[in-house]
Amino acid sequence: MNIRGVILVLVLGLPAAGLLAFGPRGLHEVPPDRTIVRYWEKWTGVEGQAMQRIVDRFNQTEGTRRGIWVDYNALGDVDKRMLISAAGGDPPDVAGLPDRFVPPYADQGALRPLDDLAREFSLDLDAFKPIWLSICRYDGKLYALPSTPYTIALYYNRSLFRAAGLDPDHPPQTTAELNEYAQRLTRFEGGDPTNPRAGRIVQLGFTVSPAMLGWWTWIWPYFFDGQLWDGRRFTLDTPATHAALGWVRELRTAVGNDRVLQFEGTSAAIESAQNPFLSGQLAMVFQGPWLANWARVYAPDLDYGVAPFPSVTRERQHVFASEDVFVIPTGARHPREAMVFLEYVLRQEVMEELCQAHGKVSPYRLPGSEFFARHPNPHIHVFDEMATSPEVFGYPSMPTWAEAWTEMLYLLETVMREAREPAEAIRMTQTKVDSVVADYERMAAHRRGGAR
Amino acid sequence: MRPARHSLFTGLLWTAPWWLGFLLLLAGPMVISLYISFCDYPLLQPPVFVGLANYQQLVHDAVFHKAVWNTVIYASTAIPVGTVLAVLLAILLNQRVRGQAFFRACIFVPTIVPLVAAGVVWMWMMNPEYGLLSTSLRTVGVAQPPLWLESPRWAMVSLVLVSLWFIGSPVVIYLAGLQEIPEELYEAAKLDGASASRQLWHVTLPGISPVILFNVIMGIITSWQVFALPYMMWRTRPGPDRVTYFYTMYLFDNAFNYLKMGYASALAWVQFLIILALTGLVFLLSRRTVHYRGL
Amino acid sequence: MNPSAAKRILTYLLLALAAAAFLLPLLWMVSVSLKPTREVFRPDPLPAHPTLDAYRAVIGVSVGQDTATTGDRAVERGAFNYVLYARNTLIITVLSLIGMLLSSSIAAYGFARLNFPGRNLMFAICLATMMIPFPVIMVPTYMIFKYLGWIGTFRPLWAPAWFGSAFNIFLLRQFFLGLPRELEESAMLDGCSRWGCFWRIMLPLSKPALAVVALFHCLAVWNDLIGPLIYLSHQDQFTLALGLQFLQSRSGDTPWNQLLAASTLIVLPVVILFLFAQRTFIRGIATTGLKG
Repeated sequence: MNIRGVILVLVLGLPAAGLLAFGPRGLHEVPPDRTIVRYWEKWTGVEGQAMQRIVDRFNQTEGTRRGIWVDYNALGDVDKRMLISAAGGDPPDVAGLPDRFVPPYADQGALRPLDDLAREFSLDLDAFKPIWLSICRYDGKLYALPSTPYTIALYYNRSLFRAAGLDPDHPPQTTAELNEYAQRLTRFEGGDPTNPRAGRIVQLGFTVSPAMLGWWTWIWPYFFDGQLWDGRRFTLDTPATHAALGWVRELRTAVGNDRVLQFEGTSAAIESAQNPFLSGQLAMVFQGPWLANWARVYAPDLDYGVAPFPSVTRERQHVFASEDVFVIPTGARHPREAMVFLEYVLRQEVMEELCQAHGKVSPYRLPGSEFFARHPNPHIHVFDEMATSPEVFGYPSMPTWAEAWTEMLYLLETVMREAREPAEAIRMTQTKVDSVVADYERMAAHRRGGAR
Repeated sequence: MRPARHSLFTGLLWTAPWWLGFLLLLAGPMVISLYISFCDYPLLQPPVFVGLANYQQLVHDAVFHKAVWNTVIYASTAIPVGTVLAVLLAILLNQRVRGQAFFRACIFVPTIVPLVAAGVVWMWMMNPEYGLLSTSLRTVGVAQPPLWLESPRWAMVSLVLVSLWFIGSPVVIYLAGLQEIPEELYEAAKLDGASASRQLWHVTLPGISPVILFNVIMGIITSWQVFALPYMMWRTRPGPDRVTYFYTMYLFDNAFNYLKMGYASALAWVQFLIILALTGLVFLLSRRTVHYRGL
Repeated sequence: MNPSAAKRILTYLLLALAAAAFLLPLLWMVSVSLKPTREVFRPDPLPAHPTLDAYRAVIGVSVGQDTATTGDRAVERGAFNYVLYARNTLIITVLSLIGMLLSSSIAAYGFARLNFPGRNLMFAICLATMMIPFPVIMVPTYMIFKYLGWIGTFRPLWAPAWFGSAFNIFLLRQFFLGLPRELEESAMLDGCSRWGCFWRIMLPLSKPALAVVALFHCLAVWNDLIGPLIYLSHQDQFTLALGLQFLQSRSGDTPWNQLLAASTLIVLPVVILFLFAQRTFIRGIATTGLKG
C-alpha cells in the first residue's frame, strides 16, 4: 500500500471503524412489562426538552403505576410521516400536529374520534376556553385535544413609534389607522433633499409579505369582517376580500411598491437572527407569543408593545387563534394507554408548565394563579385575553384547506407584486378553489355511493 | 447480434441480483402505482377506480401546465449551460498544473454539501443587498443588480446558477473522458497545423461525445425531477404565477399535501413517459454526432 | 513573453477564478459556523467573535457557562447529535456498500459477458428503471417493507442495495466491456470456472471502477433524505442528512450556525477522501469509458 493509502486509512478509516465499534447507540432502555405508547412530536430544542421532562415524570409516576411507557420521539414533518405510516397501517399511538391538519385528516378517517374516550376518562372539557376546543372538533365530533395554544397579535416597536412622533401607548385601532402609522414609520435614505421618498427604504412600517414574518398569507379578509369557508363553499369573492386586498395594495403603493419589494428582498430572506422586527428594520409585525422568546435572546434591549391586530372597525375585534393538538390516529395499537398519558398531560398544572416553557397561552378558561407571573412573555395576558374575543377565529375547517391555502399564497403574491388587478386575481382564485372543492365533493359522493 | 452462446438459465443466474430486485421492489410498486393513477386515492382510504379521470384532468389543469412549462425552461437552460461549463472546466482541470488535485477538489466538493446547507448558503449569496453576487456586480459598476431569488424574472436564472454549483460529478466524468483520448490524435492534429480551437472541435469534442451523451441523459433525468433545491429556496416565497414551481414539487404537493395520491401517480407516470421519450429522442439524434471508437 | 508562458498564466488565472467561484460559498458556510448565534446573519463576511460553540453543540460536548458570555442562549443539546447520526449513516453506508458492489458487479458481468436470449431487452429495461420518479413507488414500497416488518429499522435503507442499482450496473458493464476477453478465455482453457474468472480475474482488475461506484453510492446514501424520512421512525436512528433537515424544519429559530457547523463536519471527510483519491476516481471512470 502506498503512503497515500496509509494516510487515508489513518485519517478516515480508523475513526470510522472506531465510531462503528464504540459509537453511541442511542438506544434507551424500556423497563419490562410496560405497554409502549409511541408518541410522535415535532418539538426539539428547548420545547422538546420541556415535553421530555413531562414524559419522564409520567413514566416514573403514573406510567409505572399503570404499566405504560411513553416513548417521546421528535421528528420533522410529523404530519406527512403520520400520513404515510397510517396509510401503511402502522401509525403511532399519539401524535402532536398543527391544528390545521385536523379537518383534512379527520375527514379522511385518519383520526380516532375521542368523544367516547373523553367521557370514559371524564375529562372536564368545559374547563377549556371554547375556541381551543372548537378547533379540535370537526363535523360535530372531537378529533383532537388542545396542546399548546396561541393567538396572533400586533407587535410594535415603541422606540420607533416615539421617533416617528407616534404615541407608544396608542397602537393602531383600525386597519386604516395601521396604514397611516405604517407610512409614518417608513424611513428612506439616499433620496435627494427635495424628494426624500426617492431613496431606498431603510425601515418599513408594516408588510404582509410572507418573507417578512407574514406567515398567514390567507388571513387578511378576516380583519375586514370576511371569512373564507361557510361550511360548504369557499367564500373568497366577497366585498371583505376586495377591501382587504385593496388595503394590502395601498399599504405598498403608499411608500412605493418597487422600493418595498427591494427592501423585502434585501433584509428578509432568512428569519431568526436577522429577524427584521428584532433588528428594528420593521416597525410592526403580525406574530405569535414566541416572538417574545426570540426577542429575549437576540434583542434583549428591544422596547416593544403588543396589542390585538386591528380590524376594519373599532366595534369588532377579529382574533386569529391556533394551537398544536394531540391526536390518536386510527389504527393506533394502544388508544386507551395513549389516553392515560393525554389525561396526565392535560392536567392543568402539567399543561401550563408545558405552555409556559413554549411561551404559549394556557388552554384553560382560568389559568393558574402563577401562570402569568412566571411566564417568560411579559405580554402573555394580552394573547390570553384575545382568545376570548367574540370574533375569534381559527383556520377554515375545510377538508381541502391545503390547496386553498396554496392558492391564497399565490393570490397575495400576485397582488403584492402588482402582477394583476386585485379584482381579477380574486376572481381567478375563487374559480380555481371552487373547482378544487367541486372535485372533492364529486369524489366524496362517488365514495359514499360506492360504499352503499 | 450474435446468436446466443449461453443459456437463458445462466444469464438469469448472473443477472439475478438485478431482476430479483426489479421484480420485488420496482415492478410491483410500478404496477400498483399505474393502477392507482386510474383511481381516486386519498392515501387514508382505499383507492376507488375512476377510469381516465386523472389523466383527463391533467389536460385542463393550469397549474400542471405551468409546472411543465417551468420545468421545460429549466431543463432546456440548465442542461446546455451546464454541459458547456462542465466541458470547459474539465478541459481546464485536465491541464498539467501545480495544485491540480486542489483545483479539482474545489469543483467537486460542492456536490457533497448537504442540500439544506446549500439552500441557505445560496440564499445568502444571492441576497440583493449584502450577498456576494450583488456586491461584486456593484464593484464592477452595475448600479442596480437584480433581486435574484425575489424577482420573478431572475428566479429561474438564479436557480440555474445554483445548479451550476453542483456540476462536480459531470466534470469528473468529463475529466475521465478527456484522459481516454489518445495523445496521438493531438500530435497528428498539431502536425497538420490545427489551431487550439480546431483541436477542440475536431479532436476533443468528438473524443468525449459519448460522455456528453451520457451526461445529457443524466441531466434530463435529474432536471426533470428537480425538487429539493427550489423547495428549500422558495418555500416561503414562491412568487406570483408560480414562477419557481416545478413538476416534482406539484407531484409531491398532490401526494402528501392535497391527499391526491391517484392524481400524483398519474403525474408520475406522465413524467416517466416524458423522460423516457426525451431520452429516446436524444439517443436518436446522437446517432450521427456521437463517435464511438473501435465500433 | 513567449506564447506558452502566456497560456500558462491564463490557465492559472482561469483556474483561480473557477476555484474562487466554487469555494466562496463554502468559505461562507465555514465562516457562519464559527459565528456566535447573535452574529449569524450580520452581513460581515467574517465572524467578529469566532467561537467553536456551534461545533461543540453539534458534537455534543457540554457547552456550559461559556455561552452566557457570548450572549447565546443555553445551547440546546440533543437538537443535533453528530456522533450518533454519523454512526447511523456509517452503518447504512457500509451495509449497503458491500451489497451494492457485489450485486452490481455480478449483474454487470452477466450483462457484459454472457450472451443469452433476451439480454438486450433486459438491459434496456434496467436502464429505463433509472427514470422512475421515486414518489410514484413510494407508498407501495412502504407497504412492502411494512409487510416485512422492517419499518423503523435500517433495513429498508440498505437491503435494496443488495439488488444493485441500474446506474452502477451500467457503469460496471461499460468497464467490463472494455477489458480484453482473452484474459478470461485463456483462464477458462486452464479450467477456471466462470465464477472463478469473475472473482479472481475481473474483480481484481476492476478496483478503480469499483472505487467510482463506491464514491457515487456513498454520495447518494449521504444525501438521501426521503428514504430515511419515511422509513426511520425514531430520532435515535436519524442519519446526518435527516438530522440536518430536522434542524432546519423548525420555522423561525433554526440554529443556522449549528446547521452549517454540522454541514462542514459532513463535508470534511469527503474532502479529504477526494484530495487523496481523486486520481484513482478519475482513472476509474476513464476506464469505464462510457462508450455505448
